[in-house]
Amino acid sequence: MREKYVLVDLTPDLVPLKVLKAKQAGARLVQMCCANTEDGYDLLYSFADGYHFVNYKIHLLKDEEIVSISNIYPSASLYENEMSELFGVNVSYIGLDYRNELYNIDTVTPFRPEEKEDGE
Amino acid sequence: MAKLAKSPWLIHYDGSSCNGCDIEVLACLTPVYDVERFGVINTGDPKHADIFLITGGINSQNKAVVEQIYSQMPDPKVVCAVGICACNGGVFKDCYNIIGGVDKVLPVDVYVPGCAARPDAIIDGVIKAVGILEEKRKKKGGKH
Amino acid sequence: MGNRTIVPFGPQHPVLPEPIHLDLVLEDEKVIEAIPKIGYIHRGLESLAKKRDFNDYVYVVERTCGICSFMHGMGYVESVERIFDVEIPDRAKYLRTIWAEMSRIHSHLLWLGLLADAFGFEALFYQCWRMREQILDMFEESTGGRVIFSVNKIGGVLKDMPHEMLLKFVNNLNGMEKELRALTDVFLNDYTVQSRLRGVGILTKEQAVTLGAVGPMMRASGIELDTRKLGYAAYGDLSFDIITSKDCDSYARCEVRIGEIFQAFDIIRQAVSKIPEGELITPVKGNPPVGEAFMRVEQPRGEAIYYSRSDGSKFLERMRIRTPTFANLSPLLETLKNAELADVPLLILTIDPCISCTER
Repeated sequence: MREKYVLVDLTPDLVPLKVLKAKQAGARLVQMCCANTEDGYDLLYSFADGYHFVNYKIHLLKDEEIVSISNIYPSASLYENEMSELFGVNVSYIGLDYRNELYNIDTVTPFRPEEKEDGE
Repeated sequence: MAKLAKSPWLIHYDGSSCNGCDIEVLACLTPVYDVERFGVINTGDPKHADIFLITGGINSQNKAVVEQIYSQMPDPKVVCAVGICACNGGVFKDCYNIIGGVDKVLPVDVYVPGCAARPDAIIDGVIKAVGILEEKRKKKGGKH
Repeated sequence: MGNRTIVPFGPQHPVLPEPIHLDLVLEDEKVIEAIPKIGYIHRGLESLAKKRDFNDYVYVVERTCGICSFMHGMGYVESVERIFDVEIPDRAKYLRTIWAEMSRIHSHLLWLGLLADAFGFEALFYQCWRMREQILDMFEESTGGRVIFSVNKIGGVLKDMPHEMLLKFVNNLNGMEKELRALTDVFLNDYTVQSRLRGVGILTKEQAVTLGAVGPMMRASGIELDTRKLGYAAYGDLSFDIITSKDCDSYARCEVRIGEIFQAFDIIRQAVSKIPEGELITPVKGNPPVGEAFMRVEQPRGEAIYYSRSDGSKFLERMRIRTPTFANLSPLLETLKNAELADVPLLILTIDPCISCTER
């Protein structure tokens, strides 16, 4: 038996609203992650209310900024730090901001190697 | 005179291993394998230790920790790299955050291969390390 | 108001087998705030998905963590099977379930041992680890490995357990169960143990939801959720209750984990009685099609999420693992607030931390 889950596309400006609604419904933040696309990133935010598993896919352009959701879910800070450090996503207003030193790695945004060439 | 070889204490540090070798190192210290029968005791204090067991590869952040623990250990001391990651980086060799095996930063005396290293192999490595410790002590000529 | 001091804790610490660093802001003996510093074991194995093809990558995922190695392999493999949309043979599903539950027993016993060590019961620590060796022997007999098994493959499993072996294992487990009752009695009823665990490290139900706690940590706060109920592998055919506790403290976490050990015995017995004969693997041809899939599995430490995305080549475009300890870090920081300094090692242990998982 395979779990059925929901995967919805979302625009960056709607994120705070949707997350707030999830929080009010009593859902918990399951995970946040990031994948590269040609022109930017796909951010995947997952919430679960009981066994109901909902995922939002947010397409973000390379230079676009996304507002942190750590003031709604404090645990989002760690995921956002990870996205910012490993992928170079611009996340603003992170609650507990490590300023790209969560993992303290030598490589700059290792998951986005092409950026290194023109970035540094 | 050979008291040191009868009770070598070891300190264990997890470099960037997957935990597999770490739990095997601990399994060595507990019943069934039990290295304590050779007088070996696991200590958390570098200044008490004679043998340094490292599992996992080295990355830029734990490099300083490993060097610091090594420098605090009294002479003579032996470094034992446990598991293939500690020997040369293992499966994680190609990862961006792995410098390589322990020998990139410390002089390694004993290499214990395996993924994860089996307790029998680790015990064998520790016994070899005791032999090397004894040799080093003799070379140093001190009264230990 | 007392003096404020910052005490660094770790990375090398006698209680912790793995390195984690915390900056503890103290007021006299009381912790006001804890700031974690991770990255000592960060390898970046998710990036290896681009260098190892999707079949070989199973072996990398397994090495995320040596304690839950089987379940890591299973979670990854099931997410890719979902992209392929293949149904694996029933026997393989049951075999995965049996190995997964054996992993749970060994992981919880390991944790109980470390907990005993943390509150100073060294003999108890040794007894737990002695029991755990019996499970490792079974793993070695059935897979060839003690901690890393490499039996998962996309489409099924690589090794079979013959019927006689399964019956022997059940027999072993029955023997273990009796012995284990006596051992867990100490954890649950001993006066000294209770004085260390009761009322320490409270995480309320509301906090558990907002901070995103998972696994036994969440269930010990009274939330009845278990990813196994989603019915992956053979869990859909087996009956089991979700073990919870309402106490929300360290004792509750210990109680839940002990309950899960005995539950795992029962699940294995059920699985062995129901396991069908048949193939072990459904052959999978070619590269994974373009697509993405999430997979959730219940590890000993809680829910783990695997996300795979394929662009049609033999290398996955993205592979992401959200491990249970990563989710449990925020609740840990909450329980550390207002704790006494001497309880800090114990509190860190009660989330059953797996730092290798967390940092990948």
